Amino acid sequence: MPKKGLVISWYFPPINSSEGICTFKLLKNSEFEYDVFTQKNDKSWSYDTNEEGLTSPNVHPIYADADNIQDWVKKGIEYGIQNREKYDFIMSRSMAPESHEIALAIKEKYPETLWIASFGDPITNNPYLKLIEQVSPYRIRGTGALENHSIGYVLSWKRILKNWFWNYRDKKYKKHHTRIYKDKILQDKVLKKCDCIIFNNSYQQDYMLENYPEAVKEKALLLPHGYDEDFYDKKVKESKDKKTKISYLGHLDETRTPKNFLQALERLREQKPKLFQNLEINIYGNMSDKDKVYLIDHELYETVKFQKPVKYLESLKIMQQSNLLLLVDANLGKVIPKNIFYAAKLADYIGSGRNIMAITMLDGPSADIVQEVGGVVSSHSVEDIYNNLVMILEGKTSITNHRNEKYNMKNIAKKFDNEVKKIGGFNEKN
Amino acid sequence: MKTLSVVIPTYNVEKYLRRCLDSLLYDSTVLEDLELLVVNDGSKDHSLEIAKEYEKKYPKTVVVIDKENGGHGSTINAGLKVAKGKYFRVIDSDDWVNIDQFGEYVRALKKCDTDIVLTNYTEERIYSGEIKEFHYQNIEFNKVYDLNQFDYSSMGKDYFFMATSTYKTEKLRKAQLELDEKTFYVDMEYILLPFLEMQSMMLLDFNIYRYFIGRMDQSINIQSYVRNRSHHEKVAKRLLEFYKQIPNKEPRKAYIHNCLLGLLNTHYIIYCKARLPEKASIQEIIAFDQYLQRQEPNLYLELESHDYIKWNRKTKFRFSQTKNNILSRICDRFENRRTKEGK
Repeated sequence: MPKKGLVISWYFPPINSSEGICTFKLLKNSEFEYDVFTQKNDKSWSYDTNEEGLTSPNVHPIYADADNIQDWVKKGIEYGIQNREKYDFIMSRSMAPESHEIALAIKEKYPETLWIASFGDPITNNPYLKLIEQVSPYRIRGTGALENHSIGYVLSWKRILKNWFWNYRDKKYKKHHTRIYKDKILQDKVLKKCDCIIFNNSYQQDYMLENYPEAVKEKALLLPHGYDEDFYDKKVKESKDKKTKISYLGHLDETRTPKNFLQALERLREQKPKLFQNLEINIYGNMSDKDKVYLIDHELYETVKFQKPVKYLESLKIMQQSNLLLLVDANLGKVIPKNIFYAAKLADYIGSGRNIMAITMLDGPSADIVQEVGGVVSSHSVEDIYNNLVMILEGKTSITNHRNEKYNMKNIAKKFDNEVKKIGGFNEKN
Repeated sequence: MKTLSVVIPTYNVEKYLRRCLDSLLYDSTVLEDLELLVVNDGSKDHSLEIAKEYEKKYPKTVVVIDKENGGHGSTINAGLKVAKGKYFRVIDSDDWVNIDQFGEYVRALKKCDTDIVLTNYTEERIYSGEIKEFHYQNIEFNKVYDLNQFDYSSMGKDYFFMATSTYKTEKLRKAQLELDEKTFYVDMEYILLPFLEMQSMMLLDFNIYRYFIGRMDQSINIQSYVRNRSHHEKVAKRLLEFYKQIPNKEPRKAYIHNCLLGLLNTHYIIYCKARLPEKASIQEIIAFDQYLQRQEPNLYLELESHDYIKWNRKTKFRFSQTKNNILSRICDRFENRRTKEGK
């Protein structure tokens, strides 16, 4: 009998979400059996509930009938405690961090439970969230206050009162701080109590474990996002059109913005109009209204087309048909010096075998991985993006996609299985 | 003969080097006129392999010099020894050049004959997204200036920088330029030490250099200044010695004087405005201050136009140790206001 794991994940197919699909790919390629405690009522932060095709004989979802995430947590704890004996190990997956709450409750009740905690993003101190944090415009920040404001303004009762009212009115502010405190405690407990911590890249591992003792650091397992070669349709070929097809698939917003890329395109239109006319760029997924307006205001809409989100398998076909795949990461430089996020789409890009150009911080997992597979990495500088685009389009830089086996989910799942066997003391006989 | 030799100091820059080399090699029409000297300064990453890959691909243009670690200055020294170009310039490996203008610039250099050729540059503070274009304000394009007749006061703070200057190689050799090794902040040595050897200058209408700012480990980062303050002191002292040797009748002494004032101000800023961890740092700056007073009393006194230096001297450099450096900040505020009113 294969060993059986209980996986706790808020997102899972048929919900079309990056985190859920990553979890599914790992489980599908693993040698163990899995029950996945999940839900399909809440589609927020996902594209839809349309991924019915993503199933596997060793993976059995249990859809909790929960109205909201708190209700789901309650039901998850109940389920986990009642059925603990059925499972050889449990794995909690964030996002959302609440899945760890369920696993933590089970571990606290049954300390002998083998618990693997997997992190997509940090629960607390998330640089992405810090960047979008709403701060009172009347707040005086840091020691540079006197350089930027007059002493009168800094000490003004009006400013102090406005700042106080702003914070008072913004209920989110209050909630936000309570939340930060709670999340910090949760993350700390998870890291200390679980038996194995999965990170998808070493930058995130270093960021999250920086202040922890060796005993916690030793529990870390690096398990990158991967591609599943079974999902690619081998009949789909790269576009041979005269126009170069560039595609971006996934989430964009005001922080993870393609604005610098659009500005680079404007420069391309001005400096190298022939190259520009030869482009067909499609962006599938979300995009901020500001960027949509930018497309219109700068008359880029005939070249850059914003398309509706597509199903996962459809997205892989689009990748295979493209000539160049674009990755855009947020510029987190105001908050941290290095990127710590590895977007799951990058693994799917690698699997498609098409060339990749990443716009990202030069220190970080995306930059390392794209360089490793032979792609082109650009900083967020408009000119750097422009230079790279020109050189790619004119064939003056070497670009390829080695489809590195390191990111093949079969190999990643094998690494995962071996680690579970090692820490669980499972061997071939038992 | 090659038209331009570019030295590319290379130390642990595997993430940046391709961008730099690709931009320099973009215009294939000038490759024959170009010599790229990639000086690997004992990198511990894959920088050398990347450089060699380019050398193999462009054997007539790219030359790799592999040497033990000796610092930024040592790479320029090594490059200058072998450079075959009529002109010489330095492009740091984490920076790049404007691909739309670099070819034109090399072609223009072919026709130039002045000892210094200036071009404008752009500073990219990449993490904050700030872009600052630097343009010389009071220098006409394509006009040959005699450096002995030039009105340096018209330059304001638009000095000659490493990012803007292209030198005639033979003049650098004649000046016996040898930068300090294993030392940061040798840019000012590169600008000032050969300066008296140069006789003419021209500004070309190109914006070539892209100065990439924002890496945490960059030497212009304030923490790096603090960590490497002894290097800064070494450079300051060498340039003070150089300044001392210049006869008073030399028309360019005033310009060098102004450059030194800027450098010395930076040195005091490191001690007075950045938070230094050790108490011993107070003794260091007091010793330097006394050295300056002995060596160059005029420069010493002129620095008192900065209120924070004046007050620090009066309080034996305890002034800056106030909570959050608040007194220094107040000083700056008044000084800035005075400067604005003066304008």
